[in-house]
Amino acid sequence: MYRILLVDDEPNILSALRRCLASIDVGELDGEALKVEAFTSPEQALERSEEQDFDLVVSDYRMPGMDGVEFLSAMMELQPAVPRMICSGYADRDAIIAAVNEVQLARFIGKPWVDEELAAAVVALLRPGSARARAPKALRAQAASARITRVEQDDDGAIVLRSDDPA
Amino acid sequence: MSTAIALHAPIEAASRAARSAPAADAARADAMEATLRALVDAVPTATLLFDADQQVRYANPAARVLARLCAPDKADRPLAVVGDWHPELLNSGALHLCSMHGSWSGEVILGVGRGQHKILLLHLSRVGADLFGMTVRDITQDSMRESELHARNAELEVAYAKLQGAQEQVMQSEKLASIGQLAAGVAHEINNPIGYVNSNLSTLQRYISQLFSAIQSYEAALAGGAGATEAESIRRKLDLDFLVGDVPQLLSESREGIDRVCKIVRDLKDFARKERSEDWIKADIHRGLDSTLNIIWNELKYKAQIVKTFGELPPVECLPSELNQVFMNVLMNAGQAIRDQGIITVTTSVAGERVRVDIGDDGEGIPPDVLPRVFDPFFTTKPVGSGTGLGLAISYGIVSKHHGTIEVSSTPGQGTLLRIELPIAQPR
Ligand SMILES: Nc1ncnc2c1ncn2[C@@H]1O[C@H](COP(=O)(O)OP(=O)(O)OP(=O)(O)O)[C@@H](O)[C@H]1O
Ligand SMILES: [Mg+2]
Repeated sequence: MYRILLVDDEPNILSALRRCLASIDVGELDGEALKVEAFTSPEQALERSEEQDFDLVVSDYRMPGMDGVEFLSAMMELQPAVPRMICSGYADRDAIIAAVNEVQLARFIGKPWVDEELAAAVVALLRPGSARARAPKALRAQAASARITRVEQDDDGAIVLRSDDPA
Repeated sequence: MSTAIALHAPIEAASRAARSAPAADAARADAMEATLRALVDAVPTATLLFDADQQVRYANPAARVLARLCAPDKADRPLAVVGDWHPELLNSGALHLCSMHGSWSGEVILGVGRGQHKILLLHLSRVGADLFGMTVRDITQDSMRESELHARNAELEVAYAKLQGAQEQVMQSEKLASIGQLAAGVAHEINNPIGYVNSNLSTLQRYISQLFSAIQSYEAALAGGAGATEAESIRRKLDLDFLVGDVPQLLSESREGIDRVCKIVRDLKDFARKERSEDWIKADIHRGLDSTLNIIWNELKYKAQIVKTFGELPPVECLPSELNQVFMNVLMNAGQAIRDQGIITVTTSVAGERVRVDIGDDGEGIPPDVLPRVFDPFFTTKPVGSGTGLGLAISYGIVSKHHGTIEVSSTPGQGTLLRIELPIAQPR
């Protein structure tokens, strides 16, 4: 079973993300089920993360109290190996670029997102078939950091996430 | 006793007295003449007497200074003829007019060499059959000062007109800048609902194709004469129960998202309208506060809790979108004054013929030395690039235009209160 942690201050976003994740065929995940836990409060999500390991964290950027970068750095302390993803409609490119580099994001997805792309990103980050789920945590940490992406802006100003490992 | 009277008597009268009187009178007249001469000698205005041939009969010291001034190169020659002083000093037209009317005054401009000139105020009067009196006052300084004043004044008028234009532009561009500042936030605010509505539509599409395949399966099963157990297994296989349960939820959430986008766009339109004079209307201040709060909610919600205490307000005659700008500036300042988490209070009430809007925050407050300057244009304590210092200056202008007042009070470390008072009806 794969555990995904969702954090967004907007409950309707959480519902939509759940629906989107529910559309992932278990066949793509080596028959493993997806278990989604969703929080509108980053603080509560962190509390939960103290007792539960996750395989992927998806967070909003702008949230009251604690923003996505703060949340993900706290998450990095708790569970260094977990791949981190931001899903945000925040229009400030500089902030996003800073964020991606600061918390070593695996993916940035803009709002509005395309369901298929989000689902594909989630599947890719969970890396079924790599026997990752059974590997010891230390190895997973390495695997996760090997995927760390760099962010640049292309000529159109679009944000490009580059994976360091040869695709 | 005679001294005082004689002082008032014209020289002519004095000389007439001298002619007709015996010796004692003549002595008195001589004394009188000496006194008058001393008086005229002491006058700082050039004063002279000349006859019909322009022969100078008398010139006081100031006149002699003038003569040298008029003709510096003739300083060593006797200036017995006033016409020799300067060709433009005494023109024949003036003399002629004076002979006809008894007096003449006017300004003359004399070139005095090296591109310099003097402006003189001349007064001519006929004081005897062929005797003329003349006083000359140098008004070069005065008239230079005057024309300088005129020039300065004209400059000031131009500058003022420019400033007025500039102020309008600044107001417009400040409005645009604050809208620009908001745009990023608003984009975020709109991207959220669009995000889930969009995603929900994809989900709905999947649900519908699931439903279609359910219908096909049912049809196939029915054609094969299937019973309730087979129908049940189709239901379960396609998870129709979940689908049927989720669709109403999905639709209502999506509708909520569309409503939110509509509302944001409507508020923005309210906000950004350019005001014309016929836009003075009786408006609901609470509506303005609410729509402004909605717009900047995105900026504030991460830091502040808003406590609204709205009283009963009558409609207020105002320019609503300009007032919204005031509310926005003040609310943004309140939000910016709060470092981590705080409370912003918005309280309305009626005070006599006016309505009162109090906007308070429990942020960092304003030090006493800063307090008197917060309404100054371009005064800001915020880092370069994040504040232009125009927010309160512009708000002040808008409130004054409404014949209202805006006041600030603050306790450093505890918070700040902005009190805006507006007349319910504008004075006619
Ligand atoms: N609620 C408040 N609490 C503390 N300080 C305030 C508050 N409101 C205004 N000030 C002070 O007054 C100054 C001027 O405010 P003003 O709104 O005119 O300009 P600004 O906020 O600096 O820039 P902007 O043009 O972006 O509004 C601020 O820089 C700040 O120091
Ligand atoms: Mg301001």
